[in-house]
Amino acid sequence: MPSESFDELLKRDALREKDGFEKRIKIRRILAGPGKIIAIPYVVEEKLIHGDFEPTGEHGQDEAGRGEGEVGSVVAEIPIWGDEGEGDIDSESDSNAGDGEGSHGIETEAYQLGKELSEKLKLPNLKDKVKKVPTDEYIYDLTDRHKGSGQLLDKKETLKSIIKSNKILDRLDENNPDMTNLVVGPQDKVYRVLSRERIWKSQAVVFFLRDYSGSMIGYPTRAIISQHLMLYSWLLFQYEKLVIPRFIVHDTVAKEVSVDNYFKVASGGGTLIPSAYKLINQIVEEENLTRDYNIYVFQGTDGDDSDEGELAVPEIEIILSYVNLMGVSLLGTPYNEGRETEFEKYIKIGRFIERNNIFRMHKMSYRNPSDKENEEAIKALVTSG
Amino acid sequence: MELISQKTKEIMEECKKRALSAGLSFKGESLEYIVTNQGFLELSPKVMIPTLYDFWADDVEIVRNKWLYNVYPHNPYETVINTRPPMSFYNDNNPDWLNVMIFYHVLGHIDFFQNNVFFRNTWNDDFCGQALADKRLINRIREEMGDKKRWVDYVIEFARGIDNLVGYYGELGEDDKSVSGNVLGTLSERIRFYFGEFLKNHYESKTVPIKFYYDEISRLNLSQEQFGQKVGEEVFFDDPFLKSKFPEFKNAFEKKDKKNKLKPKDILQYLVENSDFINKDENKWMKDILGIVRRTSLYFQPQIRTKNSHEGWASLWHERLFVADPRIKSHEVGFALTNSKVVVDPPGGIGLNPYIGFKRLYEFIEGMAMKGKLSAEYQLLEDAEARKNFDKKLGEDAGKNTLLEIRKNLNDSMLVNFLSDDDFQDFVDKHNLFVAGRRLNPDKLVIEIYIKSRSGREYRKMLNDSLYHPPSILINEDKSREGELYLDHVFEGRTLVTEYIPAVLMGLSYLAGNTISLETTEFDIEREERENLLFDPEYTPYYKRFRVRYTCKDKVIEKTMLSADEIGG
Repeated sequence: MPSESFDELLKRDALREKDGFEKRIKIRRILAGPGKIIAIPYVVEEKLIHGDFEPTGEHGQDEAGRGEGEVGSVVAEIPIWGDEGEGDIDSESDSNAGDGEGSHGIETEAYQLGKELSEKLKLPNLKDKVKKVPTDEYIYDLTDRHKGSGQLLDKKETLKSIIKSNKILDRLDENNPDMTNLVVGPQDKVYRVLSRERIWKSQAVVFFLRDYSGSMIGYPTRAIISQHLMLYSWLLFQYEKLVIPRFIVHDTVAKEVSVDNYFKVASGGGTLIPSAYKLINQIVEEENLTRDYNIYVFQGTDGDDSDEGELAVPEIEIILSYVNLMGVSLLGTPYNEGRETEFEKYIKIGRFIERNNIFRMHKMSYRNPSDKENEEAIKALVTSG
Repeated sequence: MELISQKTKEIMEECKKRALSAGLSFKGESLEYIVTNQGFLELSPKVMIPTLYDFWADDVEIVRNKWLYNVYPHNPYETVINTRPPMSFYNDNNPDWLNVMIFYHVLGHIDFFQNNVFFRNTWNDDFCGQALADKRLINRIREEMGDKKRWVDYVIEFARGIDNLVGYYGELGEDDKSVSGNVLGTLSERIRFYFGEFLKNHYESKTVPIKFYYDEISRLNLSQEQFGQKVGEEVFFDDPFLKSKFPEFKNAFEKKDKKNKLKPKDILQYLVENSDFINKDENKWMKDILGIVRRTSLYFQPQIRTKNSHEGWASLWHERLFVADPRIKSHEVGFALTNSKVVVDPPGGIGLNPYIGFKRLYEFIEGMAMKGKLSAEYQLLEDAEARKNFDKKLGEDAGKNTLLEIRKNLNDSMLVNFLSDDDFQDFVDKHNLFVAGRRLNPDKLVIEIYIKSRSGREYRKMLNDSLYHPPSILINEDKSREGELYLDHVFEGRTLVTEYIPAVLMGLSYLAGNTISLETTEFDIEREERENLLFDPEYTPYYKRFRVRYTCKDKVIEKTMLSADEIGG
């Protein structure tokens, strides 16, 4: 057992500041499957160690490989962000993500994070606009495996079991396997079990929207991902886990994507922000979301836009007519530092800032933001000024 | 945590018999424990030493492990630690056949622990017992500190900030001297100093010619041949000519010898011996903490430096022993499945899994030994066809003996560099290995992994770069002013992680009770140049290189530039 509970560890960490040292416990959010995130605490022990990046490229830039191919040929491609264990999407999130195995309790952790954030940052509590609706749903419980009977045949496990049995029975010639000769016993069939559970239908829909054009590469994207994960946690806490997240990315064209893609997909094109607003309005209208749901829109952008407000302002007006809150993180990039962006210009034109109860914007400069700065950003977005 | 059942212990004992008869070597009893997955999660931050001292950062890691486990449950197969007797930990749900395989793997590790010379400083103690004593001592200090007990953890934290810089090779060298003194018995410290430093300095300052140096070697040899080693040395140094020519020699040697004996082997030891702050009566408990942190780190150093060889060695033996064991009957499929998840190349063939990568290296060297290729005769061959067909048919014993010898004498770095360039190229060719590079594809906005080289030299260089190599940071007394501790980072082409420097210096300054300076090298490169490098890894960027000094005085960190170079472009 650890000698101290997590609460005690957090208290100890808080005491560090009193003693003249910086806090050391940090929280990292990692993607743990579609729509699911967890928060994990970690401590980096600071030591005098060698760094990774050297401009000479002489140390540690290359890695080992094995297989066929000519020198110069490409053997694999990886998305420009994600997969690297850097930033807020940890590499641990990639293994098994989406397999569903062992997915219990994930949102509990995100919920806990939301609770902690609420308390830590003194974030406001929200009011429901509509009543909750109970519903029965099938929960696909992957940890229960039954031999012999069940609802869903686990083909991989069944095949393994058949091979094992036939091997024991000496019916499988390794050098010349004959699949037609295999016997299949009832106990070889492995099933997974579906169980009926009553759950409460989600009461909030939150649209996460980010610019994935070329200018957003690097710190801005990482900052948005971090902030959006925290906002999702906060809403999970606020709505007792009853939150449906929807993810939208845009360059000149907007599209709805899976959570996985939201955190990884990259484009290289220009930017047309209103395309995303239009898509959100379309979804809200077609699915009649305003009737049953509290709606939130959180946007991450560098403010770069080919529209000067003619298209965006009317769409934002529509969004503000139904949302509980729209929060925009405006990220600094090397291209927009020190100047007013198109986005800021038309936000002024629409006088949206004055509608502080439903529209908020937070601007950050171009650099790798710390956890604290990201927390400050979400505080600015969800706390009425 | 409980001992394995009697039935499972019998399985282990049978594995031991078979492993010993196959040539592995280990002594005495061993302890095997059943540990639950939750238990593993709690032990892993303590590097599986159940008795290791408590530290809050390890507790945070336990919380992290448990939260992650909720999402990604997994069953670790085994862990073994280098204690006396060796202890190993297992899940309680392994079937017997799997235990046989795992036991063989564990025995491979135990054999390595008990025979590889880089572990020799761990052979005479039981670290588990030592760690327990250390843990109790720290707990007692915490109790004595009362309300201020968290300062014990600050001191642990500060000490751990430099525990990767412990003088492992210095300690090993001490041991070497006493061991090799008996084996070789030729060079005393006095002879080393006379020829290695004293005469060398005289030669360099042109006060003696090189001929004098060789004459003296002949005179020493003659003297030792005539009177034996010890007396011969006395006769050599009692020579009236030497005494009159170098009257200062005796004093110079004594001074040097005294200095050598007193010289601390690392910064932690230096602080224990020299920090006025730590040596104040009320702070003397810190010496115990620093000693514990240092001792613990020294214990793990050989493991860090052999982790690849260790896994390659254990994998090689679990495969060989289990495949030859009748207990595998009817479990061949299970074994193949399990083994193929462990001894396997990483997905896509990119990356290095030491379980298979270093196993291949051992097997390749063994194959060469069986054919007599580790000989001058083969090494001097240049004809490719002749090299290919060379086979002295020395047999399996020659292969196995070579394997056992390299297991005994080489660490990761030495194993990687054991083969000649030509032989290593053969190894790379045989297994289709290549050096993989990364570059950005701006059109697809993906990072491409491409085959950069199939050269054995390049592959070996890449392996060498990936091996553990802590920075060399030395105490420079010549640059020290007013009692400060001046640290000099010997730049070996790699910079330090600069963001960690302030916190480490702050901690060291606290322990030293004085100013701390750290001289190191840093780069400055424009964003555009970095991007060029990203698109084309072969690009030669333009950058600036600085020699800088960080100084921590009264909790304030200052950075001073000492020199700058502009490079590349």
